[in-house]
Amino acid sequence: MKFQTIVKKTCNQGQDVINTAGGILECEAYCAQAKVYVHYLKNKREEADLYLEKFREFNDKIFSQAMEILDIAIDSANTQLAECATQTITIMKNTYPDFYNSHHLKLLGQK
Amino acid sequence: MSKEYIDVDYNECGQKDDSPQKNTNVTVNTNPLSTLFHETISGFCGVVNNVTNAVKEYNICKQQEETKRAEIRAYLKIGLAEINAKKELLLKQLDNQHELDMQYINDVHEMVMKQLDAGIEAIKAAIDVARETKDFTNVIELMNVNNGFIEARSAFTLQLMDRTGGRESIAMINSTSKPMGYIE
Repeated sequence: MKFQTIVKKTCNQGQDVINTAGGILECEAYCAQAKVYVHYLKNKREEADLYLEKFREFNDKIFSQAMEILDIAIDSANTQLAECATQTITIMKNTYPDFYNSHHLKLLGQK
Repeated sequence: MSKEYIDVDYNECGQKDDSPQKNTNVTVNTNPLSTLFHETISGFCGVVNNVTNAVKEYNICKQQEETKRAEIRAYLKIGLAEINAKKELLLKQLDNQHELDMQYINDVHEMVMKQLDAGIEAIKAAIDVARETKDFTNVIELMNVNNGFIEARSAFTLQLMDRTGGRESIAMINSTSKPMGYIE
């Protein structure tokens, strides 16, 4: 009788081990997915930083050019040229909100 | 002197008698020690038999459980190897895609900057001419063209950022399943 009890307990332990092995594999799979996702976010951050760097480089050039033209317009007292230069700066400024929204989404790895 | 012993008739056991009612002879073993010895031996044999059977069953169960353990270890090993292989594959795919995206961003930006530089050079040349002629019409036209280019470039950049950003992240988030016992 005691021996049968021992055998039954042994078989139950065996079933527990099988369940534990399944649980271990689930946890390992989840950890692997988390690592992949972290790596994905790191890549997206690098892309977002590159976009930001290029965006700033482009706008800096446009802004400096617009300021030069504005100075020339002021020197030559040409209002049309001055308006054109300020329009360039306004257009450049209007691109900032949409760009920073997209940049923020890219940092978070979202659409 | 009276008799002090019991006088009994003995018959041979080999003889068959079809009519049991006629068989009135009874075989009696009057040796008490042999009975006890026989019972002891049979009891001892029974115990040994039970113990042997128990040990045999135990060994069978032990072998079965050891086999199951080996199966479980192999199942675990294969599962872990599969998970690691898939993880490495996904990481490699991400790196390859990332490298392509970064290269594409750099190439597009280089092209855009070349175009911008060309526009700026044209505007500077027009300004030099306008300083002499005092006519800035060409400069204004070139600047309007440049403004259109800035707007188009901004829209293109936003489309490019959305294209390389969204789909993979949603797929990755949806595919993440939480294991049993995960605590929120």
